[in-house]
Amino acid sequence: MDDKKFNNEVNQNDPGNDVVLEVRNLKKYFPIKSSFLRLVIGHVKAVDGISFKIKRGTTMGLVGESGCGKSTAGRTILRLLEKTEGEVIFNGKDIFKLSRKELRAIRPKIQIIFQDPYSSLSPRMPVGEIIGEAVKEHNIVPPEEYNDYISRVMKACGLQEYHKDRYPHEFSGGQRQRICIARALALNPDFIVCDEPVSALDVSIQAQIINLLKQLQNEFNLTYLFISHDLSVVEHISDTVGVMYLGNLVEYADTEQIFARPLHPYTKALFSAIPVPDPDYKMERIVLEGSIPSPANPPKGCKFHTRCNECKAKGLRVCEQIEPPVKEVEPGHFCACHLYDTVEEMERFEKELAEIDAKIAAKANAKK
Amino acid sequence: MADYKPNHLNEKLKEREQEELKNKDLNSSENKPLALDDSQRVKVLSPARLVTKRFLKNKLAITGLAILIVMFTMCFLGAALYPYGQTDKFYKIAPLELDYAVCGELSSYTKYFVNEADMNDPVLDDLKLKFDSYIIQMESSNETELSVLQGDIEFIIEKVVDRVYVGYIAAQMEDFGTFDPILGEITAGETVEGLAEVLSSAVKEKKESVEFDGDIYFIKQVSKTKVSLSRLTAIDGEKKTIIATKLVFDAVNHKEQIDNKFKIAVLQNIADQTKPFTYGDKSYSFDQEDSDNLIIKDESGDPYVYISRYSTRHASGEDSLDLTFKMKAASIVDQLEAENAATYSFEYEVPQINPDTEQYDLDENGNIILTKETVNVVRKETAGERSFYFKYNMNRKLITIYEKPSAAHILGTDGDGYDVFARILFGGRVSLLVGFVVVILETILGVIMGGIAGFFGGWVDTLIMRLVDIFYCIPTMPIMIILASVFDAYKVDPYQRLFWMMVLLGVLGWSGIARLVRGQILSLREQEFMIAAEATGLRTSKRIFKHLVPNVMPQLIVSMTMGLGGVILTESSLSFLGLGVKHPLATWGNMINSVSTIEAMKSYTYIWVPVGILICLTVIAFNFVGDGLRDAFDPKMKR
Repeated sequence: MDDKKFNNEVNQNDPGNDVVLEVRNLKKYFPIKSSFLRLVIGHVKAVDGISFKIKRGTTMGLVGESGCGKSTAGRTILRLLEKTEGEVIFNGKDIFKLSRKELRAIRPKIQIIFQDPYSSLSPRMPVGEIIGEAVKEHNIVPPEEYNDYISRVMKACGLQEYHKDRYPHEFSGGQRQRICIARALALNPDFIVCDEPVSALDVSIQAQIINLLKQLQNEFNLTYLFISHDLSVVEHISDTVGVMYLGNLVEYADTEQIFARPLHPYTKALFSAIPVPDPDYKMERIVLEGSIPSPANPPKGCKFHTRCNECKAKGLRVCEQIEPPVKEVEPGHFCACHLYDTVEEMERFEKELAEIDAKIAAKANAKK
Repeated sequence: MADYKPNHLNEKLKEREQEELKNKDLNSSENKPLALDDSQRVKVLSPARLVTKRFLKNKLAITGLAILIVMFTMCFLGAALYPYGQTDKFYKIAPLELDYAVCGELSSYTKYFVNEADMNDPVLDDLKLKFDSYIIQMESSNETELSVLQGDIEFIIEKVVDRVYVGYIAAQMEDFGTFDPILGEITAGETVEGLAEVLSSAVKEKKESVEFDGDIYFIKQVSKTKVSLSRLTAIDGEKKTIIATKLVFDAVNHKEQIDNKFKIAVLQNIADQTKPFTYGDKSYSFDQEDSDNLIIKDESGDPYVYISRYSTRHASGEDSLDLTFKMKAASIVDQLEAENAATYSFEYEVPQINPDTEQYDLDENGNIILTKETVNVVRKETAGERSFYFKYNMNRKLITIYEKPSAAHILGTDGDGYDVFARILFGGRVSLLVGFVVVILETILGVIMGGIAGFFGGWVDTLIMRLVDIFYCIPTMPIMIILASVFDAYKVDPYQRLFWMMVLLGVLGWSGIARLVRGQILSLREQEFMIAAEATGLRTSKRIFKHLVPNVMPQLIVSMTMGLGGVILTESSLSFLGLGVKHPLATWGNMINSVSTIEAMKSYTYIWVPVGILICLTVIAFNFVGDGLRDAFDPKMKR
């Protein structure tokens, strides 16, 4: 009840915009420099054009194997890293077009929780100060309320008031992650990037932290981008899920939809690896051959075609040459795969393929 | 006031709190069992107090701190309270055997012009200069008369008595004319009867000179028919005379000066001592008292002047000794010369010097008080000259050097008569001051440079680190030596020297700290908490000073305290080598330098051992405190 009332208030400031964050064709390339002369000799394409929208009060899960650019995407969205291309629109403003001052003002609204709760807390600062430092900086609350406010935030995150004067090393991993959450929460954010917040914790603590995040989301209408490689956690917390492979978003849909019917061969393989806590259940794992290609030199066409079982089985040549566009295969279910090409599209790609072949042939002739 | 936006989070949290309070009220009525609440059990300390508490638990650190506190109070407060300053010299009155008089024969003859008007005669002056050598020539050949032809002039030197010689211009050479030996004719301005015969026989005999009628003619053959003649003509009348003597005239009344003219008169009449002579209106007579001393008595028969072989003078060269001492000295020297002995001692009444005024003690009438002392006579020979020194113990004000520790001087005195303990206190001030100033300067420079390099990275980092490399390469010692010589050349004030030494050590020493800080910051700024700080939108300055600097602090403090010890050592060694703080300003280093020879080190352990111990103690204490602080700053340390 209260939530709704409160939502209305916020929406009055931001009328008719339910989407908190929109990412359009975001790219982040890291230059590879030669050891001699420091010349740029190539790029690591960590994030190679991803687009999605997150609605207010929802959680988007971002999954993929390690090295696929999930964390980079998360940090680039927060402009902790400068983009190469694309737009990140937060509450109607492009984050990359803000000046330094404006960016600093908007920082409290977009927060991040890191994977490692040990290194993400300054070791020589008491917890109260860690949480409250930026609160003071941004004048989140009037000075007379500051102390109570920090206590309340800490309580909301499951910490005790007397923890304020302790140092991070006196806490367990789970408690530290709560401190990290409190630090993010205290700034009254709209959007939090959770960069694998539970992967460094043991399973029972994971559940606590996940539940805390969920509870805080319900209570304070937070929006999360939940980056993880743990699919069961993502299934539990997310409203929508995006699957990344080698810097690309290959599939994107509502959680139920994607878990019920994964479309992309990579998603299928990934989901088949979810362990089921039932000894009698026989898992049908799809085993991918080879390893993830180098993001500095990704394969042509569909980046997944080198490891794609279905592509090999069907002998699709189009996968090798033409990059599949992201399209809505089912309502609200986006996928980038040639398996779901319509007849017209197939015809168009055939033509393009023929053109490419002709070019290659012409080149070969010219050489001869 | 800052503009606070409506904070829905805070509102919601407050609501929740209210609800919880309500529930708690309901629960409390149920009378929950009492349990120790964690919040009651844990006593919360502020971070600064926590560090202090940890530090105070470290026994070594406390020892170090105690040593340092003692050192500081001693050097800064103690030095102010201690009665002596670092450059207070201490004196004592003690007998010191000093030269009182010198007795010996004169080394050269004293020459007197008989006529004062001859004083400016260049010819006579020439004779005066060469007189001593003529006398030596005469003495060696045992002659009593010597005739010397010097250019156109003939000098004659005669021995009157022992040690008295008379020299005068006897004759002068002039061109006489020519002579033809075949014709026997003389061509000259004047005619001398009978000369022609004498000359022709002399030419035949090939004589060079011939004497005729009291004159000497020199013959020089020009050709067969021509001989040139020159004549040496004796000078008639009063001759220009110099009297030279080694005899010494001492008036009976030693305050009276004897006129040179009187001396000339005495010397002119000394050949015949039986006859009295007149000088001025008075008549004087000679009297031989003993073999050496000739006495000249005036008309009434009282001795007026003693003439002696020996000159007896005050050690300072003044002729203010009385005759009795002079005669006594002369007799002793005679005796020693006869025995060929080198030393002798006797009792005699001699004056004493007041050590404070450095003047002779006087009685109420202004006469010098005499006391009986043992006078030692020592023969000294320098450059063939022989003199006898009369010495006795005089009470003098002496600087108390190298005095052993006593109640007055706790650690004794050093080679300059300064109190060693006072110098330790004042030297400690300088040493500690140098340590602190240099380390603070180093740290400020190092943190700024290292911090900038570490935080901004890129070309700034490269530039600063190359600068650090350059500073690492600069050799401190040669630069200090050059600087010291420049200071010496310009005679720079010791305090200014100290200042420049501190500046130079600081400027040369920051590179190590810069490297340390840069390395720490480089690794820290990549930590996730720095990214988190950026994500929360903190200012750059806050990120540096609240997140980075506190994390560098322990290493910084350790390197600072260790550096303090190091700088004190550097300053000590520089001062020891004489490059640092200069005498008379005391530092621990140059105090050790004052006993740098092995002999001095063996004999004066009470000077260098306490200083050495203090240097060691201070450096060790700084290291202890540094270690203690590092442990205290590190919250992960559990002790």
